[in-house]
Amino acid sequence: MRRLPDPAWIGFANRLFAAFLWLFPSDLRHAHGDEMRQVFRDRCREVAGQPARIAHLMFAEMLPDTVASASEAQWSAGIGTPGRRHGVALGVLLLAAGWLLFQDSISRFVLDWGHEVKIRIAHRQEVARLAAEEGLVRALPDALARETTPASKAIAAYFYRALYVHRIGFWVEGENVAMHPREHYAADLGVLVEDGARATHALAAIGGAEDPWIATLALQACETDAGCNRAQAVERLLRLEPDNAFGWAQAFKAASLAGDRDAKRRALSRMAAARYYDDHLGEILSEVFAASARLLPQDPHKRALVARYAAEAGSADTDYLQHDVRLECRSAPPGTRPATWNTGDPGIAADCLAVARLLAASDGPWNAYLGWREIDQREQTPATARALEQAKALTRHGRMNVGASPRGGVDAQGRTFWYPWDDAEWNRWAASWTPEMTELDNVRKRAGPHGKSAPPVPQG
Amino acid sequence: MPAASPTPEPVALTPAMHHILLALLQGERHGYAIMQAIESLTDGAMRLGPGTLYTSIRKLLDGKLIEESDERPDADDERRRYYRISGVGRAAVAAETQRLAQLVRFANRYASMVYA
Repeated sequence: MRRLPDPAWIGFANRLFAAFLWLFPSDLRHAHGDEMRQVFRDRCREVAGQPARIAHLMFAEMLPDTVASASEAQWSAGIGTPGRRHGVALGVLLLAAGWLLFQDSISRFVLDWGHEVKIRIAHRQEVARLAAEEGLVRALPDALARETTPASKAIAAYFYRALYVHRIGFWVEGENVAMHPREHYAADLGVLVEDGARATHALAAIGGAEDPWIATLALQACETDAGCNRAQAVERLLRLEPDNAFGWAQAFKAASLAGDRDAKRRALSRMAAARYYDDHLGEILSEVFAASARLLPQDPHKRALVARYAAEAGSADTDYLQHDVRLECRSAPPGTRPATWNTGDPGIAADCLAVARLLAASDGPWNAYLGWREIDQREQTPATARALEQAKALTRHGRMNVGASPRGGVDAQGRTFWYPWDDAEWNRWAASWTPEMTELDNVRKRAGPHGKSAPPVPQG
Repeated sequence: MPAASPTPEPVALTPAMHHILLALLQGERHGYAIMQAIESLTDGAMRLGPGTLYTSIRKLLDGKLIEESDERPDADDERRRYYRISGVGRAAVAAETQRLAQLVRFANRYASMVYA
Protein backbone atom coordinates (compact mmCIF):
# COMPACT_ATOMS: atom_id res chain seq x y z
CA MET A 1 0.00 0.00 0.00
CA ARG A 2 1.39 3.40 -0.94
CA ARG A 3 1.96 5.87 1.85
CA LEU A 4 0.26 9.25 1.60
CA PRO A 5 2.66 12.18 1.11
CA ASP A 6 3.90 13.69 4.36
CA PRO A 7 2.55 17.11 5.43
CA ALA A 8 4.90 20.00 4.66
CA TRP A 9 5.71 20.62 8.31
CA ILE A 10 7.34 17.19 8.60
CA GLY A 11 9.90 18.15 5.96
CA PHE A 12 10.65 21.37 7.80
CA ALA A 13 10.89 19.63 11.18
CA ASN A 14 13.26 17.02 9.73
CA ARG A 15 15.54 19.65 8.26
CA LEU A 16 15.57 21.37 11.66
CA PHE A 17 16.37 18.09 13.38
CA ALA A 18 19.14 17.38 10.84
CA ALA A 19 20.69 20.72 11.76
CA PHE A 20 20.54 19.84 15.45
CA LEU A 21 22.41 16.60 14.70
CA TRP A 22 25.56 18.68 14.27
CA LEU A 23 25.57 19.09 18.05
CA PHE A 24 26.41 15.38 18.41
CA PRO A 25 29.95 13.98 18.12
CA SER A 26 30.84 13.21 14.51
CA ASP A 27 31.38 9.48 15.02
CA LEU A 28 27.89 9.09 16.52
CA ARG A 29 26.46 11.21 13.75
CA HIS A 30 28.12 9.16 11.04
CA ALA A 31 27.17 5.85 12.62
CA HIS A 32 23.55 6.63 13.55
CA GLY A 33 22.60 10.00 12.06
CA ASP A 34 20.40 8.50 9.32
CA GLU A 35 18.67 6.24 11.83
CA MET A 36 18.03 9.14 14.18
CA ARG A 37 16.42 11.11 11.37
CA GLN A 38 14.35 8.07 10.41
CA VAL A 39 13.12 7.65 14.00
CA PHE A 40 12.30 11.34 14.26
CA ARG A 41 10.40 11.19 10.96
CA ASP A 42 8.45 8.16 12.21
CA ARG A 43 7.57 10.04 15.38
CA CYS A 44 6.43 13.05 13.33
CA ARG A 45 4.16 10.81 11.26
CA GLU A 46 2.75 9.34 14.45
CA VAL A 47 1.57 12.74 15.69
CA ALA A 48 0.62 14.21 12.29
CA GLY A 49 -2.94 15.50 12.36
CA GLN A 50 -2.86 16.31 16.07
CA PRO A 51 -1.67 19.93 16.28
CA ALA A 52 -1.32 19.97 20.06
CA ARG A 53 0.96 16.93 19.96
CA ILE A 54 3.07 18.41 17.17
CA ALA A 55 3.95 21.38 19.39
CA HIS A 56 4.62 18.97 22.25
CA LEU A 57 6.87 16.85 20.05
CA MET A 58 8.93 19.81 18.93
CA PHE A 59 9.22 21.80 22.14
CA ALA A 60 8.75 19.29 24.95
CA GLU A 61 10.38 16.21 23.40
CA MET A 62 12.79 16.93 20.58
CA LEU A 63 14.50 20.07 21.87
CA PRO A 64 15.18 18.96 25.49
CA ASP A 65 16.13 15.45 24.37
CA THR A 66 18.55 16.74 21.74
CA VAL A 67 20.23 19.28 23.99
CA ALA A 68 20.53 16.84 26.92
CA SER A 69 21.72 13.83 24.91
CA ALA A 70 24.09 15.88 22.75
CA SER A 71 25.65 17.45 25.87
CA GLU A 72 26.05 14.05 27.45
CA ALA A 73 27.47 12.54 24.24
CA GLN A 74 29.97 15.37 23.87
CA TRP A 75 30.99 14.98 27.50
CA SER A 76 31.43 11.23 27.04
CA ALA A 77 33.50 11.79 23.88
CA GLY A 78 35.85 13.91 25.97
CA ILE A 79 36.80 17.54 25.49
CA GLY A 80 40.32 17.65 24.06
CA THR A 81 39.70 15.00 21.44
CA PRO A 82 38.64 15.92 17.87
CA GLY A 83 35.15 16.65 19.30
CA ARG A 84 36.47 19.61 21.25
CA ARG A 85 35.16 22.17 18.78
CA HIS A 86 31.70 20.74 19.18
CA GLY A 87 31.93 20.74 22.95
CA VAL A 88 32.97 24.35 23.03
CA ALA A 89 30.25 25.25 20.54
CA LEU A 90 27.68 23.43 22.63
CA GLY A 91 28.82 25.20 25.77
CA VAL A 92 28.59 28.57 24.06
CA LEU A 93 25.16 27.64 22.77
CA LEU A 94 23.90 26.62 26.20
CA LEU A 95 25.26 29.78 27.81
CA ALA A 96 23.66 31.90 25.11
CA ALA A 97 20.37 30.06 25.49
CA GLY A 98 20.46 30.53 29.27
CA TRP A 99 21.27 34.21 28.90
CA LEU A 100 18.43 34.72 26.43
CA LEU A 101 16.00 32.84 28.61
CA PHE A 102 16.54 35.26 31.47
CA GLN A 103 16.00 38.36 29.34
CA ASP A 104 12.54 39.50 30.41
CA SER A 105 11.57 40.98 27.09
CA ILE A 106 12.48 37.79 25.24
CA SER A 107 11.09 35.30 27.72
CA ARG A 108 7.86 37.28 27.98
CA PHE A 109 7.58 37.33 24.22
CA VAL A 110 8.24 33.58 24.03
CA LEU A 111 5.73 32.81 26.79
CA ASP A 112 3.07 35.05 25.23
CA TRP A 113 3.67 33.51 21.85
CA GLY A 114 3.50 30.01 23.26
CA HIS A 115 0.28 30.83 25.10
CA GLU A 116 -1.32 32.30 22.01
CA VAL A 117 -0.34 29.28 19.93
CA LYS A 118 -1.83 27.00 22.56
CA ILE A 119 -5.08 28.99 22.66
CA ARG A 120 -5.31 29.12 18.88
CA ILE A 121 -4.82 25.40 18.58
CA ALA A 122 -7.45 24.74 21.26
CA HIS A 123 -9.86 27.12 19.59
CA ARG A 124 -9.36 25.58 16.16
CA GLN A 125 -10.03 22.15 17.60
CA GLU A 126 -13.18 23.50 19.21
CA VAL A 127 -14.30 25.11 15.95
CA ALA A 128 -13.79 21.82 14.12
CA ARG A 129 -15.78 19.96 16.79
CA LEU A 130 -18.53 22.57 16.57
CA ALA A 131 -18.69 22.34 12.78
CA ALA A 132 -19.04 18.55 12.98
CA GLU A 133 -21.79 18.86 15.59
CA GLU A 134 -23.62 21.50 13.56
CA GLY A 135 -23.45 19.23 10.55
CA LEU A 136 -25.32 16.55 12.50
CA VAL A 137 -27.94 19.01 13.76
CA ARG A 138 -28.40 20.49 10.28
CA ALA A 139 -29.70 17.11 9.11
CA LEU A 140 -33.10 18.00 10.59
CA PRO A 141 -33.70 21.42 8.96
CA ASP A 142 -32.23 20.16 5.68
CA ALA A 143 -34.80 17.36 5.62
CA LEU A 144 -37.64 19.66 6.69
CA ALA A 145 -36.74 22.30 4.11
CA ARG A 146 -37.33 19.71 1.38
CA GLU A 147 -40.91 19.19 2.59
CA THR A 148 -43.71 21.42 1.33
CA THR A 149 -45.90 22.27 4.35
CA PRO A 150 -45.61 25.71 6.00
CA ALA A 151 -44.98 24.02 9.37
CA SER A 152 -41.97 22.10 8.01
CA LYS A 153 -40.57 25.20 6.33
CA ALA A 154 -41.02 27.23 9.52
CA ILE A 155 -39.35 24.63 11.74
CA ALA A 156 -36.49 24.37 9.24
CA ALA A 157 -36.04 28.14 9.38
CA TYR A 158 -36.24 28.13 13.18
CA PHE A 159 -33.55 25.48 13.36
CA TYR A 160 -31.21 27.26 11.00
CA ARG A 161 -31.69 30.19 13.34
CA ALA A 162 -31.02 27.93 16.34
CA LEU A 163 -27.66 27.04 14.79
CA TYR A 164 -27.02 30.75 14.34
CA VAL A 165 -27.88 31.50 17.98
CA HIS A 166 -25.68 28.66 19.20
CA ARG A 167 -22.72 29.82 17.11
CA ILE A 168 -23.06 33.37 18.45
CA GLY A 169 -23.01 31.95 21.98
CA PHE A 170 -19.83 30.13 21.06
CA TRP A 171 -18.34 33.43 19.89
CA VAL A 172 -19.15 35.09 23.16
CA GLU A 173 -17.27 32.34 24.97
CA GLY A 174 -14.41 32.85 22.54
CA GLU A 175 -14.18 36.49 23.55
CA ASN A 176 -13.51 35.42 27.12
CA VAL A 177 -10.04 34.37 26.08
CA ALA A 178 -9.45 37.61 24.16
CA MET A 179 -9.79 35.85 20.81
CA HIS A 180 -12.23 37.89 18.83
CA PRO A 181 -13.55 35.44 16.26
CA ARG A 182 -14.13 38.09 13.64
CA GLU A 183 -10.40 38.57 13.68
CA HIS A 184 -9.20 35.01 13.92
CA TYR A 185 -11.96 32.88 12.53
CA ALA A 186 -13.49 34.89 9.74
CA ALA A 187 -14.65 31.63 8.18
CA ASP A 188 -17.33 31.47 10.90
CA LEU A 189 -19.01 34.50 9.39
CA GLY A 190 -19.65 32.49 6.25
CA VAL A 191 -21.34 29.77 8.31
CA LEU A 192 -23.65 32.32 9.92
CA VAL A 193 -24.51 34.01 6.66
CA GLU A 194 -25.27 30.63 5.07
CA ASP A 195 -27.57 29.55 7.92
CA GLY A 196 -29.30 32.96 7.90
CA ALA A 197 -29.83 32.69 4.14
CA ARG A 198 -31.13 29.12 4.48
CA ALA A 199 -33.64 30.31 7.10
CA THR A 200 -34.76 33.18 4.90
CA HIS A 201 -35.10 30.89 1.91
CA ALA A 202 -37.25 28.47 3.92
CA LEU A 203 -39.40 31.33 5.21
CA ALA A 204 -40.00 32.68 1.71
CA ALA A 205 -41.82 29.43 0.87
CA ILE A 206 -44.22 29.58 3.83
CA GLY A 207 -46.72 31.92 2.21
CA GLY A 208 -49.74 33.05 4.18
CA ALA A 209 -49.73 30.55 7.05
CA GLU A 210 -52.62 31.11 9.43
CA ASP A 211 -51.28 29.31 12.50
CA PRO A 212 -49.97 31.74 15.12
CA TRP A 213 -47.19 29.40 16.19
CA ILE A 214 -45.95 29.18 12.60
CA ALA A 215 -46.07 32.96 12.27
CA THR A 216 -44.21 33.22 15.59
CA LEU A 217 -41.53 30.82 14.34
CA ALA A 218 -41.28 32.70 11.08
CA LEU A 219 -40.70 35.92 12.97
CA GLN A 220 -38.08 34.45 15.28
CA ALA A 221 -36.21 32.85 12.40
CA CYS A 222 -36.22 36.06 10.38
CA GLU A 223 -32.68 37.43 10.17
CA THR A 224 -32.60 40.95 8.76
CA ASP A 225 -28.86 40.71 8.11
CA ALA A 226 -29.57 37.78 5.79
CA GLY A 227 -32.18 39.72 3.83
CA CYS A 228 -35.37 38.68 5.68
CA ASN A 229 -38.14 41.26 5.98
CA ARG A 230 -38.71 41.30 9.75
CA ALA A 231 -41.33 44.08 9.66
CA GLN A 232 -43.45 41.97 7.35
CA ALA A 233 -43.12 38.97 9.70
CA VAL A 234 -44.18 41.14 12.66
CA GLU A 235 -47.20 42.44 10.71
CA ARG A 236 -48.31 38.90 9.88
CA LEU A 237 -48.17 37.86 13.54
CA LEU A 238 -50.04 40.97 14.68
CA ARG A 239 -52.75 40.37 12.08
CA LEU A 240 -53.25 36.85 13.42
CA GLU A 241 -53.03 37.73 17.13
CA PRO A 242 -53.72 41.42 17.78
CA ASP A 243 -54.36 40.75 21.48
CA ASN A 244 -51.05 38.93 22.10
CA ALA A 245 -48.52 41.27 23.69
CA PHE A 246 -45.72 39.10 22.31
CA GLY A 247 -46.29 40.36 18.77
CA TRP A 248 -46.35 43.98 19.95
CA ALA A 249 -43.15 43.34 21.92
CA GLN A 250 -41.53 42.31 18.63
CA ALA A 251 -42.90 45.47 17.00
CA PHE A 252 -41.41 47.46 19.88
CA LYS A 253 -38.05 45.79 19.34
CA ALA A 254 -38.12 46.50 15.61
CA ALA A 255 -38.97 50.16 16.26
CA SER A 256 -36.21 50.43 18.86
CA LEU A 257 -33.71 48.90 16.45
CA ALA A 258 -34.76 51.42 13.83
CA GLY A 259 -34.50 54.29 16.35
CA ASP A 260 -38.15 55.22 15.76
CA ARG A 261 -39.30 56.59 19.14
CA ASP A 262 -42.89 57.27 18.06
CA ALA A 263 -43.31 53.73 16.76
CA LYS A 264 -41.86 52.42 20.02
CA ARG A 265 -44.38 54.41 21.99
CA ARG A 266 -47.29 53.14 19.85
CA ALA A 267 -46.11 49.53 20.20
CA LEU A 268 -45.80 49.94 23.98
CA SER A 269 -49.37 51.29 24.20
CA ARG A 270 -50.73 48.37 22.18
CA MET A 271 -48.74 45.93 24.29
CA ALA A 272 -50.14 47.46 27.48
CA ALA A 273 -53.67 47.12 26.08
CA ALA A 274 -53.16 43.49 25.01
CA ARG A 275 -54.86 40.65 26.88
CA TYR A 276 -52.05 38.10 27.20
CA TYR A 277 -48.39 37.36 26.47
CA ASP A 278 -47.74 34.06 24.70
CA ASP A 279 -44.60 33.14 22.81
CA HIS A 280 -46.05 29.71 21.77
CA LEU A 281 -43.04 27.92 23.12
CA GLY A 282 -44.89 24.72 24.00
CA GLU A 283 -46.37 24.35 20.52
CA ILE A 284 -43.12 25.24 18.81
CA LEU A 285 -40.97 22.80 20.75
CA SER A 286 -43.45 19.96 20.61
CA GLU A 287 -43.61 20.38 16.80
CA VAL A 288 -39.82 20.54 16.57
CA PHE A 289 -39.36 17.37 18.59
CA ALA A 290 -42.17 15.58 16.76
CA ALA A 291 -40.42 16.40 13.46
CA SER A 292 -37.13 15.21 14.92
CA ALA A 293 -38.66 11.90 16.01
CA ARG A 294 -40.31 11.46 12.60
CA LEU A 295 -37.26 12.26 10.46
CA LEU A 296 -34.45 10.90 12.63
CA PRO A 297 -36.04 7.80 14.17
CA GLN A 298 -32.89 5.68 14.04
CA ASP A 299 -30.49 8.31 15.26
CA PRO A 300 -30.84 9.10 18.97
CA HIS A 301 -27.59 11.07 19.03
CA LYS A 302 -28.82 13.50 16.38
CA ARG A 303 -32.19 13.81 18.13
CA ALA A 304 -30.42 14.58 21.41
CA LEU A 305 -28.33 17.26 19.70
CA VAL A 306 -31.50 18.74 18.20
CA ALA A 307 -33.05 18.89 21.68
CA ARG A 308 -29.97 20.54 23.16
CA TYR A 309 -29.76 23.15 20.40
CA ALA A 310 -33.50 23.87 20.74
CA ALA A 311 -33.08 24.36 24.49
CA GLU A 312 -30.18 26.73 23.95
CA ALA A 313 -32.02 28.72 21.30
CA GLY A 314 -35.24 28.78 23.35
CA SER A 315 -37.86 30.93 21.78
CA ALA A 316 -35.02 32.95 20.20
CA ASP A 317 -36.60 36.20 21.32
CA THR A 318 -33.54 37.13 23.36
CA ASP A 319 -31.82 38.55 20.29
CA TYR A 320 -31.19 42.30 20.35
CA LEU A 321 -31.83 42.11 24.10
CA GLN A 322 -30.92 45.73 24.66
CA HIS A 323 -33.96 46.67 22.56
CA ASP A 324 -36.33 44.34 24.39
CA VAL A 325 -39.29 45.95 26.12
CA ARG A 326 -38.70 43.80 29.21
CA LEU A 327 -35.40 45.57 29.74
CA GLU A 328 -36.22 48.96 28.29
CA CYS A 329 -39.17 49.30 30.68
CA ARG A 330 -37.09 48.41 33.68
CA SER A 331 -37.06 50.96 36.51
CA ALA A 332 -33.63 52.06 37.56
CA PRO A 333 -32.75 50.50 40.95
CA PRO A 334 -32.15 53.05 43.73
CA GLY A 335 -28.74 54.69 43.49
CA THR A 336 -28.19 53.92 39.82
CA ARG A 337 -28.45 56.10 36.77
CA PRO A 338 -32.06 56.06 35.54
CA ALA A 339 -32.85 54.52 32.18
CA THR A 340 -33.62 57.11 29.52
CA TRP A 341 -36.78 55.45 28.20
CA ASN A 342 -38.64 54.93 31.44
CA THR A 343 -38.26 58.28 33.17
CA GLY A 344 -40.14 61.51 33.12
CA ASP A 345 -43.18 60.31 31.20
CA PRO A 346 -46.06 59.10 33.39
CA GLY A 347 -47.76 57.55 30.35
CA ILE A 348 -44.75 55.38 29.54
CA ALA A 349 -44.38 54.40 33.21
CA ALA A 350 -48.04 53.37 33.38
CA ASP A 351 -47.82 51.35 30.18
CA CYS A 352 -44.63 49.69 31.34
CA LEU A 353 -46.36 48.67 34.58
CA ALA A 354 -49.25 47.23 32.57
CA VAL A 355 -46.75 45.28 30.48
CA ALA A 356 -45.11 44.03 33.68
CA ARG A 357 -48.48 42.72 34.91
CA LEU A 358 -48.99 40.85 31.62
CA LEU A 359 -45.54 39.32 31.90
CA ALA A 360 -46.13 38.39 35.54
CA ALA A 361 -49.22 36.46 34.46
CA SER A 362 -47.27 34.61 31.73
CA ASP A 363 -46.64 30.89 32.14
CA GLY A 364 -43.02 31.37 31.08
CA PRO A 365 -40.96 31.57 34.27
CA TRP A 366 -38.43 34.04 32.93
CA ASN A 367 -41.15 36.41 31.72
CA ALA A 368 -43.02 36.04 35.02
CA TYR A 369 -39.85 36.82 36.96
CA LEU A 370 -39.12 39.96 34.89
CA GLY A 371 -42.73 41.09 35.34
CA TRP A 372 -42.72 40.62 39.11
CA ARG A 373 -39.31 42.24 39.41
CA GLU A 374 -40.68 45.39 37.78
CA ILE A 375 -43.88 45.37 39.86
CA ASP A 376 -41.94 44.86 43.08
CA GLN A 377 -39.48 47.59 42.15
CA ARG A 378 -42.38 50.03 41.95
CA GLU A 379 -44.75 48.85 44.69
CA GLN A 380 -42.39 47.22 47.20
CA THR A 381 -45.05 45.48 49.28
CA PRO A 382 -44.63 42.18 51.16
CA ALA A 383 -46.97 40.55 48.62
CA THR A 384 -44.95 41.67 45.60
CA ALA A 385 -41.69 40.68 47.32
CA ARG A 386 -43.11 37.22 48.01
CA ALA A 387 -44.36 36.86 44.44
CA LEU A 388 -40.95 37.90 43.13
CA GLU A 389 -39.19 35.29 45.26
CA GLN A 390 -41.56 32.59 44.04
CA ALA A 391 -41.07 33.63 40.41
CA LYS A 392 -37.31 33.68 40.88
CA ALA A 393 -37.34 30.17 42.29
CA LEU A 394 -39.35 28.98 39.30
CA THR A 395 -36.83 30.33 36.82
CA ARG A 396 -34.35 27.79 38.16
CA HIS A 397 -36.68 24.91 37.52
CA GLY A 398 -38.41 25.96 34.32
CA ARG A 399 -38.34 23.34 31.61
CA MET A 400 -36.14 25.44 29.35
CA ASN A 401 -33.54 25.72 32.09
CA VAL A 402 -33.64 22.09 32.98
CA GLY A 403 -30.74 20.92 30.83
CA ALA A 404 -28.59 23.89 31.68
CA SER A 405 -29.15 23.91 35.43
CA PRO A 406 -26.29 22.91 37.66
CA ARG A 407 -26.06 19.16 37.92
CA GLY A 408 -22.98 18.92 40.02
CA GLY A 409 -21.61 19.69 43.39
CA VAL A 410 -18.38 19.60 45.36
CA ASP A 411 -16.36 16.42 45.61
CA ALA A 412 -14.40 15.12 48.62
CA GLN A 413 -11.38 17.21 47.62
CA GLY A 414 -13.44 20.40 47.51
CA ARG A 415 -13.40 20.59 43.71
CA THR A 416 -16.56 21.62 41.95
CA PHE A 417 -17.72 19.30 39.23
CA TRP A 418 -20.32 19.42 36.52
CA TYR A 419 -21.91 16.85 34.30
CA PRO A 420 -24.19 17.59 31.36
CA TRP A 421 -27.14 15.54 30.22
CA ASP A 422 -26.42 12.52 28.07
CA ASP A 423 -28.31 11.63 24.88
CA ALA A 424 -30.94 9.53 26.68
CA GLU A 425 -31.72 12.37 29.10
CA TRP A 426 -32.10 14.91 26.30
CA ASN A 427 -34.33 12.56 24.33
CA ARG A 428 -36.59 11.93 27.32
CA TRP A 429 -36.83 15.66 27.87
CA ALA A 430 -37.73 16.25 24.21
CA ALA A 431 -40.34 13.47 24.23
CA SER A 432 -42.05 14.98 27.27
CA TRP A 433 -43.12 18.19 25.49
CA THR A 434 -46.76 18.47 24.42
CA PRO A 435 -48.48 21.29 22.54
CA GLU A 436 -50.52 22.26 25.60
CA MET A 437 -47.57 22.29 27.90
CA THR A 438 -46.53 25.32 29.86
CA GLU A 439 -43.07 25.49 31.26
CA LEU A 440 -43.91 25.19 34.90
CA ASP A 441 -45.96 22.15 35.54
CA ASN A 442 -43.69 19.20 35.79
CA VAL A 443 -40.26 20.08 37.02
CA ARG A 444 -39.37 19.09 40.56
CA LYS A 445 -36.22 19.48 42.56
CA ARG A 446 -33.89 16.57 42.99
CA ALA A 447 -31.00 16.33 45.40
CA GLY A 448 -27.69 16.28 43.57
CA PRO A 449 -24.96 13.85 44.54
CA HIS A 450 -23.49 16.25 47.07
CA GLY A 451 -26.50 18.08 48.30
CA LYS A 452 -27.00 20.71 45.64
CA SER A 453 -30.39 20.65 44.04
CA ALA A 454 -30.62 19.63 40.44
CA PRO A 455 -33.61 19.35 38.16
CA PRO A 456 -34.85 15.85 37.40
CA VAL A 457 -34.92 14.26 34.02
CA PRO A 458 -38.53 14.40 32.86
CA GLN A 459 -39.98 10.95 32.41
CA GLY A 460 -41.60 10.81 28.98
CA MET B 1 45.77 -18.44 15.89
CA PRO B 2 43.24 -15.64 15.70
CA ALA B 3 43.64 -12.83 18.19
CA ALA B 4 41.14 -12.97 21.05
CA SER B 5 38.59 -10.19 20.91
CA PRO B 6 39.14 -7.67 23.68
CA THR B 7 36.88 -8.11 26.68
CA PRO B 8 34.42 -5.21 26.80
CA GLU B 9 34.65 -2.95 29.78
CA PRO B 10 31.76 -3.26 32.27
CA VAL B 11 29.06 -0.79 31.39
CA ALA B 12 26.97 1.06 33.99
CA LEU B 13 23.38 0.85 32.81
CA THR B 14 21.40 4.05 32.70
CA PRO B 15 17.61 3.74 32.92
CA ALA B 16 17.40 4.33 29.16
CA MET B 17 19.92 1.56 28.42
CA HIS B 18 18.16 -0.79 30.82
CA HIS B 19 14.83 -0.21 29.12
CA ILE B 20 16.36 -0.72 25.68
CA LEU B 21 17.72 -4.08 26.80
CA LEU B 22 14.32 -5.00 28.24
CA ALA B 23 12.67 -4.08 24.93
CA LEU B 24 15.15 -6.28 23.05
CA LEU B 25 14.49 -9.26 25.33
CA GLN B 26 11.25 -9.65 23.38
CA GLY B 27 13.06 -9.93 20.03
CA GLU B 28 15.00 -8.00 17.43
CA ARG B 29 13.83 -4.46 16.84
CA HIS B 30 14.80 -1.32 14.96
CA GLY B 31 15.14 2.04 16.68
CA TYR B 32 11.56 3.27 16.34
CA ALA B 33 10.20 -0.12 17.41
CA ILE B 34 12.42 0.02 20.50
CA MET B 35 11.02 3.48 21.27
CA GLN B 36 7.45 2.21 20.96
CA ALA B 37 8.16 -0.94 22.97
CA ILE B 38 9.55 1.12 25.85
CA GLU B 39 6.52 3.39 25.81
CA SER B 40 4.27 0.34 25.91
CA LEU B 41 6.38 -1.35 28.57
CA THR B 42 6.07 1.65 30.87
CA ASP B 43 2.45 2.52 30.06
CA GLY B 44 3.60 5.75 28.47
CA ALA B 45 5.65 6.88 31.48
CA MET B 46 8.91 6.77 29.51
CA ARG B 47 9.42 7.92 25.94
CA LEU B 48 12.95 8.16 24.57
CA GLY B 49 13.80 10.82 22.03
CA PRO B 50 16.08 9.97 19.08
CA GLY B 51 19.10 11.58 20.79
CA THR B 52 18.85 9.61 24.01
CA LEU B 53 17.90 6.46 22.11
CA TYR B 54 20.94 6.42 19.83
CA THR B 55 23.51 7.66 22.36
CA SER B 56 22.32 4.76 24.54
CA ILE B 57 22.38 2.29 21.64
CA ARG B 58 25.89 3.44 20.83
CA LYS B 59 27.04 2.72 24.38
CA LEU B 60 25.34 -0.67 24.36
CA LEU B 61 27.03 -1.54 21.05
CA ASP B 62 30.40 -0.40 22.39
CA GLY B 63 29.87 -2.52 25.50
CA LYS B 64 28.81 -5.54 23.33
CA LEU B 65 25.50 -5.71 25.22
CA ILE B 66 23.64 -5.57 21.94
CA GLU B 67 24.62 -6.25 18.37
CA GLU B 68 23.37 -5.35 14.98
CA SER B 69 21.31 -8.02 13.27
CA ASP B 70 21.64 -8.88 9.59
CA GLU B 71 18.16 -10.28 9.28
CA ARG B 72 15.22 -8.19 8.08
CA PRO B 73 11.52 -8.96 7.97
CA ASP B 74 10.66 -9.21 4.25
CA ALA B 75 8.27 -6.31 4.04
CA ASP B 76 10.18 -3.93 6.22
CA ASP B 77 12.21 -0.91 5.21
CA GLU B 78 15.67 -2.07 4.18
CA ARG B 79 17.25 1.13 5.41
CA ARG B 80 16.39 0.36 9.02
CA ARG B 81 18.98 -1.32 11.22
CA TYR B 82 17.85 -4.00 13.61
CA TYR B 83 19.41 -4.74 16.98
CA ARG B 84 19.37 -7.81 19.17
CA ILE B 85 20.50 -8.42 22.72
CA SER B 86 23.74 -10.38 23.24
CA GLY B 87 24.64 -12.91 25.91
CA VAL B 88 26.51 -10.18 27.76
CA GLY B 89 23.42 -8.01 27.51
CA ARG B 90 21.23 -10.74 28.98
CA ALA B 91 23.64 -11.12 31.87
CA ALA B 92 23.63 -7.36 32.38
CA VAL B 93 19.82 -7.27 32.43
CA ALA B 94 19.75 -10.10 34.95
CA ALA B 95 22.29 -8.32 37.14
CA GLU B 96 20.45 -5.02 36.92
CA THR B 97 17.13 -6.72 37.68
CA GLN B 98 18.66 -8.41 40.70
CA ARG B 99 20.06 -5.08 41.87
CA LEU B 100 16.66 -3.41 41.51
CA ALA B 101 14.96 -6.30 43.30
CA GLN B 102 17.35 -5.88 46.21
CA LEU B 103 16.61 -2.18 46.21
CA VAL B 104 12.87 -2.87 46.28
CA ARG B 105 13.27 -5.34 49.14
CA PHE B 106 15.27 -2.79 51.07
CA ALA B 107 12.73 -0.06 50.34
CA ASN B 108 9.89 -2.29 51.49
CA ARG B 109 11.70 -3.17 54.68
CA TYR B 110 12.52 0.46 55.35
CA ALA B 111 8.95 1.50 54.59
CA SER B 112 7.58 -1.13 56.98
CA MET B 113 9.84 0.24 59.71
CA VAL B 114 8.73 3.80 59.07
CA TYR B 115 5.01 3.13 58.80
CA ALA B 116 4.67 0.30 61.30
